[in-house]
Amino acid sequence: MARLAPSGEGRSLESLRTELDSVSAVDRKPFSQLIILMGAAALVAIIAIASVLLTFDNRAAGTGILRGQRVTTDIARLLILVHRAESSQRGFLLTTNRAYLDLYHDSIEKVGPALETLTESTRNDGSLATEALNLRTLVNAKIGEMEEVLSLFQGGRKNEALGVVKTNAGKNLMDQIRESTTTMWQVSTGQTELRIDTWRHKNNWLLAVQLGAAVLVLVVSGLAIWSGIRHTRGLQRTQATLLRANELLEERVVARTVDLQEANEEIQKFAYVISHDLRSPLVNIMGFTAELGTIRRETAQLLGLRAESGLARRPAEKVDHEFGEALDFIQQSTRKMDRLISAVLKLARSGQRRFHYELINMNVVMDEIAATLKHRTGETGAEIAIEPLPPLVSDRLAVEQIFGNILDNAVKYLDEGRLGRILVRGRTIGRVVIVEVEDNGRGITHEDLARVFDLFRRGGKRDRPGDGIGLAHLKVLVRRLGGRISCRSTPGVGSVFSVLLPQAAPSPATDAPDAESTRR
Amino acid sequence: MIATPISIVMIEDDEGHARLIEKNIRRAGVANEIMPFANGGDALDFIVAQHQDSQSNNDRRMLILLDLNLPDVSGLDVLAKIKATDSTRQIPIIVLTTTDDKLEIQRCYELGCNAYIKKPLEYESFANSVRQLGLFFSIIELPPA
Repeated sequence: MARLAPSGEGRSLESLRTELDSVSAVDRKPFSQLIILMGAAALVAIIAIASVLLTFDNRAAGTGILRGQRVTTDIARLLILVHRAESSQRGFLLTTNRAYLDLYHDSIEKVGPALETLTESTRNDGSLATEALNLRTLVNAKIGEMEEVLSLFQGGRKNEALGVVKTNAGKNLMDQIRESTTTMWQVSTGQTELRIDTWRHKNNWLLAVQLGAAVLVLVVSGLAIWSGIRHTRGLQRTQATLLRANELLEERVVARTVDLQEANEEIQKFAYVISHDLRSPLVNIMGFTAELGTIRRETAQLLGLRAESGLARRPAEKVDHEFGEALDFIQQSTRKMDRLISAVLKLARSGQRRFHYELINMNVVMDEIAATLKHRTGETGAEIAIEPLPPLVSDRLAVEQIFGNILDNAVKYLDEGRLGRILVRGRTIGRVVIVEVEDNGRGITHEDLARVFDLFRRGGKRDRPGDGIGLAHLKVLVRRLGGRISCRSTPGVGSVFSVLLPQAAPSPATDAPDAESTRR
Repeated sequence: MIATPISIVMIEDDEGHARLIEKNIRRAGVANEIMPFANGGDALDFIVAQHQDSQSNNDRRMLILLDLNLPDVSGLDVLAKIKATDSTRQIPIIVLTTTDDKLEIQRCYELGCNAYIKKPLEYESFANSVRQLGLFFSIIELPPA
């Protein structure tokens, strides 16, 4: 009967599950990669801050070095100016050449600003500033000495001037000035050298930090590229696995569908054979029961009885009456049994019939059905109103059967207490057509509603002929057409039967199995 | 009671059905010879043998009552075979079966059956239709091939 799942299916499913597990493991990876990347970003930030700080430091060191050099230059310039003033004064004293005097005055003029410059450039530098103050005093004293000598000389007091020179006070001052400048120069040079050392040191650090940054950038980019490749590969693997999973799933769906179709065919065949075979003996039972009836009539005639009369006066007549009663029951039961078997046959067969899809004008179909019910609606004055209905592509015979049955039911179960009114309306939603048949009939109770579509089940009063087959058959038909049938009802108010049908024919693959192959 | 030379070949495996059919044919007043067969193979052999070389022999004219539900071969096969053979094609065949499947009825007519009667379970209508069938037999002279 139904095809069992191939043995390989279980195994491949198992392997698929493992694969999917590994796929989810790949999915967890990006999290750790994120941490690595964040760490790298933090390192880069630290490096950036360090290099900025180092650069500022370096700039400060550079400024210090420049200032030291300026101090050195300023000291040298001052010393030269003082020397020039002294030597040009001596030159004037010896030669009385006015050119020497001009040079002397020029030098003296420039000493002042040079002193200011030096004071300015050493102002924030403790020992140098003190020394510069000392130097200023010495230079001013020296200038005073030279001015004194010069004014004595120009005043004609040459000997007095010479006497001042001979005291060696000027020479001493000059020695002191040289000493002071040398000290300053040494201090300044030492400071500058120290600053250059610091600057070199920091420069090395900066270089190291920047080299480190370069390496880090390389490492991080490498990591990013590697993780990207890894991630892409993981995704590709996942995709491939999913693709295979889908294929496997489709295979299984196809296998299951085939199984179901086979099972369905088996059931239909079974129902067909059973009902067919049950019918043969039933023909005999009914036939010979009828024969018995004939024999009874003949016997009654032979015995001169008043056959089939209800009045049983003599014992023989009583026997004949009971004979008739038994036969009646047998016939009623066999007739009922025949109807049930016919219903099962019909159901089994409706599952086998091949549908022919065509465009159906639903209004034409409904009008025809309403016309066939005319003789019955005419009696009670009931009305069937049909609104414009959307057309659909389906099996005409099945659609006629479905709505014929629903309308027949609607007419059959109208409420005698009021004028029957049946409304047929339809609409299209997406690719589905919904046709509703609403009546103001006696309605169906809530408990019965659940089983109106069950085989051999009937709800409400059993005052109308029927075997409980129609709706069960409809449900099978509608389902085969790819639709759905439902019912809502309020007892005493009316019922609405809704039929959902696909607007277009299904694709050929889903067509029903060949009807001929399942028939014997 | 017009006795015609037409004999009735009844192919029916169910003994009860065969008896009921015979009873009804007789009750309808048909006195023709009824030759019962319980399976399709034997009946086919008999029919073919009867028509092998005597197409013009009016004495051997027959009418076939065929049940579709046979134990050996399908009634449809029997029908197809008779209608596919030149010598037996003109034999009228009435298919008797328990189903009223439209497709099956259509298939029978396509294969060339002359009438299709559902084995009715309503005894009265069954008797009536066989009676009518009997009258039909007795009145209408089947045309020679």
